[in-house]
Amino acid sequence: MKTSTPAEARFRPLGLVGLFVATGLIAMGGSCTAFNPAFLNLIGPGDGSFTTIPNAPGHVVVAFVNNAEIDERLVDFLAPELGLSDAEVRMLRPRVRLRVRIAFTDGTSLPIEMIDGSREFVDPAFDASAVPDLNQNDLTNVVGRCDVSGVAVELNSIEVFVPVELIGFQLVEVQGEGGQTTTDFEERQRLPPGFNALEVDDVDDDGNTILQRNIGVRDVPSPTANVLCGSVISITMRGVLDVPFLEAETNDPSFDIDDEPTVARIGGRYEFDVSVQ
Amino acid sequence: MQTDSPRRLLAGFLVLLGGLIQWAGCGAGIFNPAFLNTVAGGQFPVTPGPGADFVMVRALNETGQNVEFIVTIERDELVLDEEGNFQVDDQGNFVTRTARETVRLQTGLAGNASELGVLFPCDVSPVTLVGLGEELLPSDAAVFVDGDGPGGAPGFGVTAANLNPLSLDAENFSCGDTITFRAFQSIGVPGGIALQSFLLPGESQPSIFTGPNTFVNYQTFLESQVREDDP
Repeated sequence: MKTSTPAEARFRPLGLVGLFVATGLIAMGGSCTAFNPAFLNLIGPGDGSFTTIPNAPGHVVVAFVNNAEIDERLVDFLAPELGLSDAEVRMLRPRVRLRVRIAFTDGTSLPIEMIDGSREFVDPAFDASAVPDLNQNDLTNVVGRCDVSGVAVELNSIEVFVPVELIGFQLVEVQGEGGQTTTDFEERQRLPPGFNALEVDDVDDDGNTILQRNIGVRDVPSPTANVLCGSVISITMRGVLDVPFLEAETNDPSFDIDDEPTVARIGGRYEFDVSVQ
Repeated sequence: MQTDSPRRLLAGFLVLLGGLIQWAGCGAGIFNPAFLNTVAGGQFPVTPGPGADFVMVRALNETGQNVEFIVTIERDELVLDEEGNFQVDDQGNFVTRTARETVRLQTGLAGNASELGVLFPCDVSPVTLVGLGEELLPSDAAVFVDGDGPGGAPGFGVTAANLNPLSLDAENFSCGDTITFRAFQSIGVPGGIALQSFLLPGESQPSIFTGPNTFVNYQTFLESQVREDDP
């Protein structure tokens, strides 16, 4: 006759329970959704059954905040032609687009094109259909699935929309009457409204600026790494969109094509701040 | 007479341990917060609500190819007067107009890159329709498959067909919910790609998380960025 010790009698039910639980776990082990059948198919098949998909493990939000402004002189030049109200003028922002690359811990990555800013602030004589991106809807945030390893702005992808035509002049010597030589500006080129790539300052080996462009070397958007699940990554842009006015020749936006510092700064001056919270 | 009960108890324990290992193996590890969130929730929010005023649209690509989702919403936008204040009618109600927004979400062919979302604020101007395709029509291209990404070739279009837009009035969704559009391979449909929509109500989700409250943090950050000139 089989007998059992008091210890065996005490632990036998535990073993049976463990066996029962394990069986259930194995039966459901093929699907991680069994414990959390979250999402429900909104439009299910006619037999009334529904389909579920699993929850995401978490998200990281990447946001682009455009806090740049438009130079007052440019606003005064263009706003009257557009018939903008004072309130609309106060809300104007440069139209900016940039590409952000989200890298994930599984080795995959996604390029995201973000765009924001005023679409109506453009020379009315310009055919806006020639630049479809101008009328593309804003995309200022994306939500990536965890786990994200890093987020970086592609520096050569940052562009600002210059909303007016720029006339390029060149100072040339002109032979006048009596053999006198004078100098005068002659028109050399016309740049139509369009997206203008922003460039980083030229610096020497010691880091000193030798040619100022659109973004200082210390003001570029820095990449982030080791992003925690659930974080919010914000890319904030500040600065001013402005264009040159060569007053000696015309009241319209214009520049001397041989004036390298002025040419380098066409599009304005900006700085970026990337923060994680 | 000796019994083999201890052996049975040990066997039971080993089976239990095996089940737990198999369960953990279907995720990234049993103690990984991401895995815990997928299975049981409570680590990170998966809907904006109930704490944040967004509708999240999540594009889920299970086709094995690059897919671009064309997500369109309609919202009742408040109309501003020349002073920048919200217009009201004779009865004191805010004047609104229907505005449509379309964004293009690019998803990769595998891994975490096969999923991407976007947040639409819905506190001041309620989102009334959410769907795929620029005009929210059945004949619209809802997704573009096998394209080259931003600036590249778009790929071939797959229509929305009978994937109707979700309506606020019909209570298909509410502010704070997450709507998922899923593209997957299917035999017998044009292009071999089918589409589904899913809803996760925000009010069914917890409001306290062990990790960061992602969407509330984002809303707080946005509110700190509002300029004096903004309405």
